[in-house]
Amino acid sequence: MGFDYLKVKFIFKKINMKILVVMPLFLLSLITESLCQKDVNIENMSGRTESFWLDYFGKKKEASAFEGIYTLVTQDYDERRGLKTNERVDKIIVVQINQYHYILLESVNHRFKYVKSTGLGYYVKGERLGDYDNMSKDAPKYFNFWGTAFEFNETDKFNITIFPVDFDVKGAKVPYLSTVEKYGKNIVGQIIDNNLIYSISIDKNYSEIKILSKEFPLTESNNKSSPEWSSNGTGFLIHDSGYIVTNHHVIDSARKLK
Amino acid sequence: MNSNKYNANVVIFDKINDIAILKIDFEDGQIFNNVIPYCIKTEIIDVGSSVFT
Repeated sequence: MGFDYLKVKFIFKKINMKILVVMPLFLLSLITESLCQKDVNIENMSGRTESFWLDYFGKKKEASAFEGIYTLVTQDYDERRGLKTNERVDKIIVVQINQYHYILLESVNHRFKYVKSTGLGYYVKGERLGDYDNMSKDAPKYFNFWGTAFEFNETDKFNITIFPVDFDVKGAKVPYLSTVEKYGKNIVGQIIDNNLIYSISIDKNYSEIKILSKEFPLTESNNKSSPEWSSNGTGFLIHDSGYIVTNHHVIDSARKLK
Repeated sequence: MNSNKYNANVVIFDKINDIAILKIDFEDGQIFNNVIPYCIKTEIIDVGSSVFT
């Protein structure tokens, strides 16, 4: 299989350089609003395994409007950690992978776990129709990100938490991106899409995402929602009507033979 | 290589001798055409004999 190279688009790439010359003030306002590393106010960052709320994305926009690199800025780190107030600690990266958007929380201090979002709802013409967890196939691509809750633990390890923020045009659920870790310079992870598991590699600058391999189909055995598991065994077909001889231990405790 | 999947049922098993016979659950009386003609050897085989497993 050939590699697919998926570019991660950032807002600053969309800026035409001519605008820099012609409309500096306009550009400056753009930079102020969306290009610079953005500060995110976080509540309740002082404890262990506590939740905080990502309230930055308070406006209803298309997810693509949020593409870029943000910075989490804590407010009460100075007391406990000796860090100055507003010192940048963690990053938020909004990336597009295929047609999907994800928020990546990159941290060297915390291990994040996406918990829930009260505000990650979907809207039609400004009217909120449902929550993120109950999205239908007709869910549009406009979302509100306020009130997104995370848990975090202090950790010395580099950690990235990723969660999807929108749905595709057809309405299928956004591929679940998980088990993202850093190996050397590369950030690798897995993405589950249409019951296939892809291994991915993310460039450190988030400028390129490679799909390294397409792996086995997601079955009941490795689906986290199912406690079942499967195993293999060898058997010999001994009759054309379908008789197979095998070892008893192969089928021992099996509930379904296939 | 035929990679089709079929459901199967356990016909009989012998836990002590660790052997089981399954039967594929064909829906429409289908049969396999390319069955290798295995034979069941009734004699006791010697230590060191080659076996398939």
